[in-house]
Amino acid sequence: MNKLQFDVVVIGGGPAGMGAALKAQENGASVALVERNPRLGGILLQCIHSGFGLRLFKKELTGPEYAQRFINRLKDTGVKVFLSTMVLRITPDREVVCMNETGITVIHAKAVVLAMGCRERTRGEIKIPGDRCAGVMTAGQAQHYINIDNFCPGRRFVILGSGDIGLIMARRLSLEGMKVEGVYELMPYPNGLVRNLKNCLEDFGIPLHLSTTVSRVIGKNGRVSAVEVTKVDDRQRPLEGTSEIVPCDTLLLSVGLVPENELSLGAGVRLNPRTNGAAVDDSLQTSVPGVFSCGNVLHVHDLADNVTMEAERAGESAAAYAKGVRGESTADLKIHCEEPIGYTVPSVIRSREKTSVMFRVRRPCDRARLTVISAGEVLLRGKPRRYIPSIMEELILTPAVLQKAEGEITMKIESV
Amino acid sequence: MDTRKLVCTVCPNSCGITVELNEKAEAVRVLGNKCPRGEAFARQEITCPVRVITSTALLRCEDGREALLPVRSSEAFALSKHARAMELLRHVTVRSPVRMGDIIIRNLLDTGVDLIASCDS
Repeated sequence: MNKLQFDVVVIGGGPAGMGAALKAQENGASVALVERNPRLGGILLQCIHSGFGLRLFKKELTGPEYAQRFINRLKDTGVKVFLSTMVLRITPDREVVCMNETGITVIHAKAVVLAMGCRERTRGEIKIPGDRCAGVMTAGQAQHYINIDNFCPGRRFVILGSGDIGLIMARRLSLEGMKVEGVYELMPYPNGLVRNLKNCLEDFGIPLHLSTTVSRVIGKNGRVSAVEVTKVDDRQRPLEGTSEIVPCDTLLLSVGLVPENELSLGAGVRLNPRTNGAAVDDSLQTSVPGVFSCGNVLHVHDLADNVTMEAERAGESAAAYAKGVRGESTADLKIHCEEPIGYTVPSVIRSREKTSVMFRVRRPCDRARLTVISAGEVLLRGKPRRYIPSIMEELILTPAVLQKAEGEITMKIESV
Repeated sequence: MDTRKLVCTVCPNSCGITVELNEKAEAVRVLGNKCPRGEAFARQEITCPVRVITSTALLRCEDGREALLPVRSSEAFALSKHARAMELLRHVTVRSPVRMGDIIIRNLLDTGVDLIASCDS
């Protein structure tokens, strides 16, 4: 068994892992990056569409181009990259147990950055009744078949869920000459970015059916032959007498993403039930000292650029931790968020330095105002504007605001 | 006066834009954009919508193995020509090694836009 030692070990070689590794190295740490696939890039490699890098590079890049920029930068650094290497376990004292063709390697890390990304929700998780036949798959699975494997997963598609991957696949399938019957969304509003609704559905004349879901899968000779779709009421209950049969041979699911935290749990990291990712402070440190989290394993993002920026913050924090730098110990400020805010990352603030707080609303608010309150005093009040669930929001808290806060910060969004 | 409502896709701000049209369906006034790029986008969108195309090309690796190379157009070009571009791409085989930015098809369908590799192979 090999034994190695690094200041910072980053788990996962997607946009989060690459961003964190580069930043940690830039901050003087010795860094190992562990990736289970034979190539770096993570999910970006199959996201061949453009729309990446608008915020970070002021350019519209494709997923592979966005990844290549970081891969190229990594080549010029001393970051030790382990490919085709699976992390089996992370212990609470930061022993990272890896396996690859050479056998088992244990890397001792002064700090660990979790960057394992997320998984798609499957049919089992949303419990669609009906036949258990071939032809039901997640949108990302179909994306891998088409963009990486050169397989054609079907001819006639129905897409359930208006998440971004589903929308992007609707366009991809149409371009490749396949038929997309429609996109069905349970909620009364679309779940993907506006740009994707326009460029992926409108451009190809693909209908979007809101407040409608797939209520049954119908198979014939072991393959999907149709799905039954049904309208739902404002509490997402099926409306009797509204069902329709839509013939198709493949059902794609784009029904949400779940952070992949098995390794984190093994290390003793406490999760935030609102995000299914680690509960973190403003340095993105988890409940286990020296273990940091970023990207989609922390909370599901809609833009890779935001993943990179978050990852850089985690990489910087991890490098500082490895060097023994500990922030000044100040009283914790807990962030409490009220409906319709679904969650905040971080959920607790330890420093009094400028901090960005990411959050997402659970339902659309057409004209609403964000208020930040602490100890009965209004610290910040935003301008009235629109908030929607498909866009992650960022609140910047300045040192001046944080100095005034005590004990707990409450964030509210109220309609005006 | 006719108006058309658009959502700008130039950046993640996604501005809601209203274009006022005259009787010849020409843009008279563009409202709601937060930056000049939004106005240019709206004017283009009502005359001839353009998009970047992204797809894959068959890649023959040095060891004889086949794989897919992600490709894109260097710039946006008329959406109405995308189906023909896809047809053309079905018959293209690229030989490895390729570098990000290498031209795969020069002057795609006389648009003045090139089809380029999205990553190294």
